[in-house]
Amino acid sequence: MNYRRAVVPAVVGVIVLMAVAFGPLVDGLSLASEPAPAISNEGTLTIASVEFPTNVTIGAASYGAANAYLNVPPATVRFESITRTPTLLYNIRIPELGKSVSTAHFLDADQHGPTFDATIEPSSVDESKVQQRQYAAELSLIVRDSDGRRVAARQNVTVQVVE
Amino acid sequence: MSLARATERVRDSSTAQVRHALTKILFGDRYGLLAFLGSLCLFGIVWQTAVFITDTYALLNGLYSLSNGEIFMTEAAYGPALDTPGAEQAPDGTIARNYGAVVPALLFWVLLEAVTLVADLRVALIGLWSLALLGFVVTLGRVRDDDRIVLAGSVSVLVLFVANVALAHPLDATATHLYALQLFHITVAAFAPVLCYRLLTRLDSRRFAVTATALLVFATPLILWATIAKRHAITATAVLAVAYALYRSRTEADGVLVRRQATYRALAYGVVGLYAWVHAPEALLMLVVLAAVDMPTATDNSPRTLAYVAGVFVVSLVPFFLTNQALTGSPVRPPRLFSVAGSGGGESGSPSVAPLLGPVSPVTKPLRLLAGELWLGVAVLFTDPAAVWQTLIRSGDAAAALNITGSESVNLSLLESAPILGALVGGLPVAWRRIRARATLTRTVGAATVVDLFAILLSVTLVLQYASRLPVHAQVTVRYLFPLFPLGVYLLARVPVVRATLTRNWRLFAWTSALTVLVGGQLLAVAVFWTAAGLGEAFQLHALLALATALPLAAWSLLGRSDGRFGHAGAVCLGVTTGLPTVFVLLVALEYYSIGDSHLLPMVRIVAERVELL
Repeated sequence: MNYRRAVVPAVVGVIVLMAVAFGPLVDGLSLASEPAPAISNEGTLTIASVEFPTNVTIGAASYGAANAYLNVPPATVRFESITRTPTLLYNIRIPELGKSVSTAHFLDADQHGPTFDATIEPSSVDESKVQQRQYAAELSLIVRDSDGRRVAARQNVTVQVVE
Repeated sequence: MSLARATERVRDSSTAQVRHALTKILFGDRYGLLAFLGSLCLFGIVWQTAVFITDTYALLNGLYSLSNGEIFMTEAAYGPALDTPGAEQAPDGTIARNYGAVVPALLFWVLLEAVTLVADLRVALIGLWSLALLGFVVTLGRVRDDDRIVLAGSVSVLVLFVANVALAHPLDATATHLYALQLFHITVAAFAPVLCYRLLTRLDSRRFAVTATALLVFATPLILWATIAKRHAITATAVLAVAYALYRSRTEADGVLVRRQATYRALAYGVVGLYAWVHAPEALLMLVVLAAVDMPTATDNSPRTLAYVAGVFVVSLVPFFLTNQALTGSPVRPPRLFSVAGSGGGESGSPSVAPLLGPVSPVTKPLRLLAGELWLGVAVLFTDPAAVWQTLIRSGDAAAALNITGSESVNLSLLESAPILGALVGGLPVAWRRIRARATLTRTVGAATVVDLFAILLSVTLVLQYASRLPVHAQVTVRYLFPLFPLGVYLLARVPVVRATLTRNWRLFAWTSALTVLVGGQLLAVAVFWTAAGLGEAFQLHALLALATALPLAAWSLLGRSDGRFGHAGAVCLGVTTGLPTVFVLLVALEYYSIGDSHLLPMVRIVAERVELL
């Protein structure tokens, strides 16, 4: 039997029927929407202690790329209590470079233990603006939960410019 | 009853004949059809239903207005506002550009709107991709005369389709203009490999033509730009179409429809005329180069033939004239004639448009502008050779490699984008020997030589046309010089050592390419994960790898030997330089410029969501 004659139209038929079945003409079948993101900034978060890094650097990019990167190691955060889905923002501000970078961490009480390593995504710096050997900067952790927004911890740090 | 059966048979055979003739006209043969369907599938894999470059907004709003029966743009249905890069203020309203892409995309828009009435758009587009893949495996089965390929392929397609649908999220049904524009660009781009194959299969063996077409698809950033609603992929198809028609105009005309050489010649000009509708300045350059190569080398320049060619050219310009008349009030004043190359970068505004709004001499003015641009380009070679170096060879720490916000080095040079072009240096000694061997200049030259001249001249002048503005921002892979990729692949296929090596060692080449993508791609992803902090570093890692492989390739090609070990080494070099751009394109789509929840194929979206390298 020449199954080529049967198989190909069958596949085409399935494809067309499926497209129509999920369409407006047929009730009941529909594609699953993307799961709605959990609502952030809800619940509570209290922080017991924070260990900020000390070796924050600005270094030229490797592979001959023209830009420089600001590298901030993670801050280790110890929670006192966490409920539901608060947000933790880890921020660095370098006033002399006019730069402020933060990374938001959307926490979930069900998924996080008592400690958490907050990170800041490496961010690029215009190398031509970097004139000094070091810069004063401020690291901070900001909590957003049901009680609103507050700075949970803050520390001054020196950013070293490395070759 | 026997009569009924007889009519049935006649009907069967006539539809088969029509199908056969259509395949021959559009794709040449079944391998051409394979190139088309295969390209469609590859483009579909990286297709993101999102706006990649802000320039696309102008096209989208232009299409949106046309679909509402308005000529001028009235509403920013897409993007932040109407005055996005590429939109332009004409005397009577705001206009878009690339109408040669926007107007035909209307047809795709109507089809998509019709589909939304009866089917789910996401499932329908997944289905469309699956049907292209089904077409590919069925054609492959016929070519290899193997029913098992058809059976296994069909079942695989069905499994892929069902899996994709199971993972699918609904697609925004209001953004049909975007999908229509992308579909149009994808369709046109898929003809680039077809034309590449059709041209090369006339010059050489079918196997070599297929292998060289794979170079165009995998060794250049074609896949990356095919789904992006910008003119670049269209340009690739246009230059290859001109090259193909030019070749056919010098050989025996044995087409299904076309039986006169002059018709192919006219078609070459016709393609240029149609391309003017998309981007007039480049079409003008193509016209000048085509005429400069075609006229002196043609065997028949009788007034009758020239009138025929000119007539077809004028007819091909009709949509261009009509659009200009409607938009700017002058048939020869297209949107953005000689305005900016650096849209997005936008270092030169559109001051050069202003003088054109005055009374223009329709023929001399554009030519004068073009000559001025080329002259400026020549000057740049001497005043700013570094800019040319950064555009063609090494981007690196050049400030120009940075993106528009000046934060990441994401603009690769031509060689970094397609390291395989390094093998072109092997053509230089060959060309030199040929020129010296040609004692006296004869007016008539072989068909292939005519195409060679066209490809070389167009490549050089295109670099000159843009040299004064290059390097500009937001290029990623020197997209302004995009025609250099297909023309470069064509010229590569003309380098004897490449030809001999790929013909003899095509298996080794194919295996090396596949291993580079499948194994090398994973290693490269790991390297990006461990060593690159941001996009700039990742791109420059790709760039350095590309250059590191382009150098041995160039050295091998300059040596010019394809025998024994040399041939094997060459095939490996060609394979690696073919695989690297593919890996780059895949990582761009899956990671570097992966826009959340925008991949057309849900399976690709899942992979993109899992991959996090930076």
